[in-house]
Amino acid sequence: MAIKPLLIGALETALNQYLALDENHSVFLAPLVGKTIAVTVQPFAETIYLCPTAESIQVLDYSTDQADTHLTGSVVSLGLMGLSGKPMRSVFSGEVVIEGDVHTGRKFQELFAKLDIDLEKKLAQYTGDTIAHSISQFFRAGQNWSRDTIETFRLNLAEFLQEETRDLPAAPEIDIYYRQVDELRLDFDRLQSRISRLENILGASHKVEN
Amino acid sequence: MTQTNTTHFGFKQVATEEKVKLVRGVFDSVAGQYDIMNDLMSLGIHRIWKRIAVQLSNVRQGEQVLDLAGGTGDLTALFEQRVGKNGQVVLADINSEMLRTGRNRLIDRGLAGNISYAQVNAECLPFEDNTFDCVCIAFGLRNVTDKDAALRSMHRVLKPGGRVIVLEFSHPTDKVTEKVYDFYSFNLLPKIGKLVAKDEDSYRYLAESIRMHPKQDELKKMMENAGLERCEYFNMTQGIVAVHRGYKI
Repeated sequence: MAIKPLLIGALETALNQYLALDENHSVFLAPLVGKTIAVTVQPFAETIYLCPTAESIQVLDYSTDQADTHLTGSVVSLGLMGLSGKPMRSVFSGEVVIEGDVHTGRKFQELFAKLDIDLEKKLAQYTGDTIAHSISQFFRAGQNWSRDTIETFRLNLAEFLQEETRDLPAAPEIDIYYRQVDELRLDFDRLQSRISRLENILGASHKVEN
Repeated sequence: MTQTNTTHFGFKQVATEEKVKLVRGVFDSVAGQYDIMNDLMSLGIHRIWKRIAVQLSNVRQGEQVLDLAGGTGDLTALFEQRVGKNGQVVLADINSEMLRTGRNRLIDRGLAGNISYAQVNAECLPFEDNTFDCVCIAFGLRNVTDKDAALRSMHRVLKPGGRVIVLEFSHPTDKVTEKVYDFYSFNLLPKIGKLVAKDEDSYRYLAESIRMHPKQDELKKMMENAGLERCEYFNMTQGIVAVHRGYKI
């Protein structure tokens, strides 16, 4: 029964440890001080309240103050919104709902986007510069290799499906197709307008004859 | 008539005015070893219980908190982090020895400026109405002679929207835990007390006073009678400890 406060406590600690990795986190927190951000995670319908202070973010399971902003979404969509380079896409696609002060919600998202985490510097405090640099280099090289490999695989797969097997259309073909669909839609709209105009004229002349 | 002038002190019945002195005697005796004994008795779990209680208090920066029966200041230190420099925590205890130990300990840890100290009786708190955002009493309510008066007094000093947090030993929710817990409390606990704090009787009182403390639902009802609303409780470690929370609306 007391699991929720324990989890909230753990979340608060983790969140603040993460924030503390950027020495300038207080600069990004400053516009949010005193605000209350409610976050509802679906499908559990559990709401937590995030209350930024000058140095940290307090996480509560209940707030007597009304929330300035209310974010609602699934764990995945909220997580993607926090990490994505285009966070508003989640909002416009309806995956995350923002109610209340949208500016506060936007600032809150920006907080995570602006954080500059220098893990090498933090690691150096425990292991010394040389070891920290070597470990960072190792991970950075691994990260680059993974990124390059995934990108190469993506390009090869796309080429295979689009050019070799012709199972999927190539990007220019899709563009042409969509352009044709757009033109067809516009033509249809125009035709519909003409028909309704003719109907109106016919209707009016019919009334005059009567 | 005799019935109304007596109260329980552990399993014994004592005169009402006598209980305060007896409880003071217990805590005067254990003050120096209090923290070590807490760690030994609960295997360190009391730290988690206290963290959960603080989390349930939903205290945020800038708020005013009263830590009643605050003893050696464990909760005050946790609340101090949450209220920040703009807020205030009042560490209050009826026992001057415990209060002195708590104050020295907090000052030694460099916690000062937003912490005040007050020697108070929980039954008649010397604070104005609507003063605090949160009143917390951890492992202290069972030692209070008139618990109803204490809860009414806590409700009075709370601001509207404020909450009372009662962290207290309670009653196990299943028979197996109850058997193990009883054996531990009445056989092992006094022995540990004798060995570490050189005081077997005080720790026997501790075990007895826990058994005399109201059950979870009973305490919830008492809180509601004191004027608190939306009262609820959270059992921890199979009900050995429970956190009760109620709001002043």
